[in-house]
Amino acid sequence: MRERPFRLKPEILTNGEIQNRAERLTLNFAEQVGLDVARLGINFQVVYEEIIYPDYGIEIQEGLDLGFDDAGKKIFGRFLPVENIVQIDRVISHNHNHPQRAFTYWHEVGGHGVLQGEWLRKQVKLHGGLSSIATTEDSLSFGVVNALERQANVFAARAGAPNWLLYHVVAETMDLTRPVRYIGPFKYSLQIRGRTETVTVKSFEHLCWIIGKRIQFRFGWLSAEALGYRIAETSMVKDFAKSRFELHRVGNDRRSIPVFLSPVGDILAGMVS
Amino acid sequence: MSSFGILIKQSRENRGLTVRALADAIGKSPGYISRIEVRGEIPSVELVVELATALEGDAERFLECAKNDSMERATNEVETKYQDALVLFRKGKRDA
Repeated sequence: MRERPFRLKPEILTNGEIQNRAERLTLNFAEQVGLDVARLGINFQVVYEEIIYPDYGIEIQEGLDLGFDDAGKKIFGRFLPVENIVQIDRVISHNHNHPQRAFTYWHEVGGHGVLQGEWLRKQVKLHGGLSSIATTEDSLSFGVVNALERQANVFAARAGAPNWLLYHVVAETMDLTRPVRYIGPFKYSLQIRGRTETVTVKSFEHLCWIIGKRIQFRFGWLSAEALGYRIAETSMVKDFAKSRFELHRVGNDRRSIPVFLSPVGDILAGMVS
Repeated sequence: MSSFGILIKQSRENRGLTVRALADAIGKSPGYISRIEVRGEIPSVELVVELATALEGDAERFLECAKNDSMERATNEVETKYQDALVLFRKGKRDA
């Protein structure tokens, strides 16, 4: 009988478990430096120096040319589980303005190194085979199929913008006393750091992106896309446009009627142009 | 990684100390040791001696290594500045 080649699988973890581990990592950092200091902002560099390197011993090699993968995609980073080393291509490490810089570091060091490192080392010891995990731009998308990469993305998104800081920063930046309500593609008046900004919003995701863009500096310049994704996950911004068109059954009547859940004031505010 | 960073890391590992344990021994944060080992930060002379004591190493060797790293860094910095100035000078000459 022909033996099937061994394919490395990640530890079976729910999204919730992965997010908890990421949250715990950043809370350790907050404990280390003090919550008041941590609430000023978080970035990969300080969490790496204060927690990741001392506790996990993961080394980072920067400025390398990692070349391209089999599909011809540029390799941004690579994790070597046995050596416990993360290698970052110079496209990312030497370009501080690269939009995916912070997320790549969180993905490689946090996702592959902290979350999966120990498990991967055990698997390699048992079955051999794997020498490194390479990450391309495609691996950093949230729709990625590969389970190892998907887990690393979930971890990276949560560690880069943990709930305890995200809620605080969004509320503080937007002067919130209630969630921001998205009611459709209009012009919105947003309170940002005490000033009113009128912005044209195309979609719910766009609104989250706009808010993400304004709080990037508190998260070590994590990309606005990643922050928008995280903001959309929270209840700080609510998509009322979606629920406006949800159909509801009334009594025995099987006809459906649309129900407007947003108060009239919100709709008018959203229509200010 | 700088030679001083490598020396600290090797000495620490040989003594079986964690980053946290070494940081506690010299009264600094673990982040400070990380910056020395990973980022190549060179501490003050007093701290180099403290590190050597905590790691039971030869303080003179530690100081020598830190000095060489500082010298190398300074030389590289001067060389980079010199090259930049040369480029500017040649550009100015071309334009004139």
